[in-house]
Formats: sequence, structure tokens, C-alpha cells
Amino acid sequence: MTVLEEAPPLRIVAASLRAFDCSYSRYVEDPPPLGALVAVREGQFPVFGVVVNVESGPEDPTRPLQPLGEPGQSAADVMRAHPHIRQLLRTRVRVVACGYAADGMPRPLLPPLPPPLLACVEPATVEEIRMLTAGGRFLSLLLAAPECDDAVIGAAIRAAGATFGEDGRTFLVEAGKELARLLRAEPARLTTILRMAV
Amino acid sequence: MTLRFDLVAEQLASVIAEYREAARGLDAAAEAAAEAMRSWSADPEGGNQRIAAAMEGTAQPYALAADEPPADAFDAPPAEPWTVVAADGSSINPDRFAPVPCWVVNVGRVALPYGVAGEPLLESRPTVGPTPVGSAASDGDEPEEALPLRWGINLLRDVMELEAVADLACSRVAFGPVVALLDGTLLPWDLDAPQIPQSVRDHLRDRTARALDALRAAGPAVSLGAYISASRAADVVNSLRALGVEPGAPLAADAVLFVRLLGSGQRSALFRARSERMRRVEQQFPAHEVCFFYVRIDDDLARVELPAWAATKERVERLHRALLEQSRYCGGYPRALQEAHELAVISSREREQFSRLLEAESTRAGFVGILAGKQRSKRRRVV
Repeated sequence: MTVLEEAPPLRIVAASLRAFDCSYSRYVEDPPPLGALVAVREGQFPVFGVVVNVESGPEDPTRPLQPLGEPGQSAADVMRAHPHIRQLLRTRVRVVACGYAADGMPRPLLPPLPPPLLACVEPATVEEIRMLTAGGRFLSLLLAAPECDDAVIGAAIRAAGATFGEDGRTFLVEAGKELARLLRAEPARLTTILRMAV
Repeated sequence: MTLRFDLVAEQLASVIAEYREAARGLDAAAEAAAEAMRSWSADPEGGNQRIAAAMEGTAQPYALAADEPPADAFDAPPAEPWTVVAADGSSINPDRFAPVPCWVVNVGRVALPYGVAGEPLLESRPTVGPTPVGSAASDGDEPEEALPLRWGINLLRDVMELEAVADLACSRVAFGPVVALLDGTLLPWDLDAPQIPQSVRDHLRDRTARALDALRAAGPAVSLGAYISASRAADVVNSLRALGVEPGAPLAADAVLFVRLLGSGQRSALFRARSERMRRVEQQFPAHEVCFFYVRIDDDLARVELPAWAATKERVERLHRALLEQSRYCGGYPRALQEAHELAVISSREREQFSRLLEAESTRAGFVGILAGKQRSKRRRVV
């Protein structure tokens, strides 16, 4: 198995209205990054969310991973030399919900139901991200989530902004205005997030 | 706490002191045995004849020199690309309190490709029985009485492990050389256990023979080894006694001798295993005579059994190197066997879950178990 091999599906293993935990069936090097917008298109309502954490480690916590490898070997070399390891590890992704779709239209509101367990989690399309994030209204749900620290919100704004192409600056200005409204009592935090968002 | 460690510790001291006394003179005995090994090496055939004569009428296991001088030690060749396959099993015996008699055999199956094509495989496959005749889990041609119930589950598990290894080896050999590993002895010893019905033993003997035949037919690219960690076998020591080493010498096991003869990573010469029990089991597999060698991996002295047809230089060298490579990062035990064990093992929690599942399913089908008093008291531990 090599790092170039197609990753297995990312599936939901625990879900609530506000957040869901997802896992691959093995270790993968290229999961959705921090701040990425993802979609779950199964269940009554397609649900959207922002990646707030990614972690990899042993599936069985009683079997810690040893620091294998000879001097000069890269991680890929070590994986090739120990082909069992990848399957004994798991990559897990934590997502905070920031919207759902009704009648095919993404809305920046809390979904009425959690996404189904074992549903596949995929990257949201450019179109979905634009519709969900335009005007920055999705930020209120993120700011209300304890897991969304300043770095997560900054990364989510950057990820969304990248989908707007030439209109990226307009998106950033609108998102900045929305943040200023939501964080008027926390000017220091507002400044920190804005610095991280560009 | 029910075990009173204050009393245990008091008694341990005298046990250790007694062992120390018994071990006195071990070095001298090992040196005498090593000298006898060297004499045996000088005339392997003559030594074999004296050992064969001493074997008459005894039940003890002996070793005969194969094609290598018995006192020699061998280094492993460099590693090559290959696939290591292994299987290990775990089982739940039928519970006599259960409403429906039922067993489970769970076999962990592992295939790890090193520099050859093929995906790594880590999986477990449970089989629940007794299986109806002709079902997918049975092979369809066994008589009903051949299906093990209370006795023979361990034997069935051993056979299923061998079948899994044969299946994996045959499916991977197209990608390159294969090293197939089993945990324990090569031949299932329970094939001569009188408490297992003869029909069950006959059926499982046939399955064993088919698996061994398949491994043999896979050709010289397949090495096969049954790995016994910390072996306590004394075949070689018994042979040395037949060659004149003092019978009272404190050499309890071959490991005591070979740990002195072998450097780290070295293997011993190949030996042919001989005993009355071996003969009884082996004669059921005339094409698969058992050989063995010892290999020193860190502080462990492991016995590796293999069929005589797999005891060619190329196959043994491949097996030797693969065992060292496999054990290098795995605490001195082959990685593939460890992972197969991890996949096979049925935890006490899972055993309890199975028991409850069987009870629920049986009750749904109208079978109500009668809970014995002892079982009831264990489930509800009131004061």
C-alpha cells in the first residue's frame, strides 16, 4: 500500500446536531484539512460542516505506536517496511455543523437532525460553499461552538474565500463585517481572527 | 484480594532456592552435551543409528540429524522481497449450561507483503458450529457424526489455522516468494487423542492432509514454519543421552543447550523429529515428515517445525531470515503471528456477549436453558 493509493471513505461514527465525528478505516495522510467545508449528502437533509480537528493514532489505545524506522527513512519508507501498520491506525476527523440544505439550497443554520451514522463525508462543492458562506452568516454557528477556536474560524474563512475566485475580496469584506458585528464585545479576538483569515 | 501474597512470597523464596540448587552444574553439563554434539557431527549417520537403537520401546521424543552437521550454527542470508502469511485461532467451547450446544472458532488471517505486489490483509473469520451438513462452513462431504461438538474443538481450530495459512500462501505465491507461519506445532497433536471420536479425527486428518498437500503443491517459492516460542522440547537432549551424555545431567530442554551454541539470530542444524507419538500422528501424513531447527531471537530460543519437503536450503534460508526480520520490531516474536493472534483472540467480554447472544437466540427459538445453581450463583454474586 502506498500513500498514492485511493483513500477509503470517511464515515460518521458519532453525530449530534452540532458536531459529528468521522473516521477512516485506516490511516490516511490526506484527510480534509483544518477549516475545510465538508458535506454529508445522506439522510433527510444534506448537512454541511467545518473541520475543527484531525487526529491519527492507533485504533486500539492499548497498543501504542512505536517510533519505528531506521535513520534516514521517511514516513513512507517506514510504512512500506511495516505494511501492517496503516491498517492498525485510524485517522479521525471532527466536524462542527454549520448548515444544511433544504430544497437543494444550502442554509447557514443548524440542521434539524444529525447526519446519519456511517454516512460518507465528502468535500463540499465550490457551489455549495459559495451558497453557504456568502455574506459570512455561517460564522455565527462556528463562533457559538466551543471547539471552534480562532484558528479554526480563520482557516474556515480562508477555505471559503478560496472558492470565490475574483470575488474573494468581496467575500472577505462581508465575512469581516459579519465577524465585527458578532464580536463587537471582543475586539481583541476579532483582530486575531481577521489576521488569521487572510 | 483472595490470594494472600504475604504467604505466597514466603514460599517463593524456597522454590527459587531449590531451582538454583538444581541448576548448579548446568554449564558443565551443557559443555559435555556440546562435545557430544561435535562427535555426532563427525559421524551423523553412526550417531543416528545409535539414537534409533536407543529409541526402541521408549515414548520419549528424539531428534535425528538431517542433512546438516548437528553442531553447526547458521547465519541468516540477506532479506528479499516476499509476503509473510500467518494464521492463529481462538475458540469458545460448547457451554454445557447453554440451551443449545454451540462452539465458535475465530481465525485471525494475516498477509504482509514486503516489497512485492498485493495488499496487506488483517482480518478475522469466525465459524460457528456444529454446522449443518452441506452448509458453506462445512465442506459438504463429511458425515454428520464427523462434526466436532464437545471434544475436538481445539483440534478443529488447529486444522482451520493450517487451512487458513494454506489458503493465504496459495493466493499470494503469484506475487512472489511466501513465508507461511503457524503458531505451535506443525501437525495437530490431538489427531491421536482417544477422547475425540474417530470419525471426527478422520475427517480432520483429511482436511489437514489437504492443506499440507496444497502448501506442498504451491512449489519452492513457499517456505513453511510452525513457530514454538520458548520451546521446552528435549528431543536433541534425549538423543545426546543416547549418545552417552550422562542421564542425570541438569539439561531439561534443548533450549538450555542451544542458547549456548547459537549466537543471536543464528539457527541450528535441521533435525528430524522422532517419537512414538510423532510416529502415530506422522504416519497419517506419510508425505509430510516433520523436521525442525532452533533459532535464537534475542533471549528467546524458538523451535521451528517444517515438513521435510520444505527443508530445502532455499526455503529454510528464506524462513530463517523472515523470522528474524519479523521479530525485529515485535519484541522477539514474528509480527505476522502477533497480528494473527490479536485478530483471533476472543476476550472474556466477547465470550460473555456470545453467551448472552446464544441464550437470547435460543430462547427466541423456543429453547430455554436450565440455569444450574453454580452458574446462577456466579452470575449474581450476592453477599
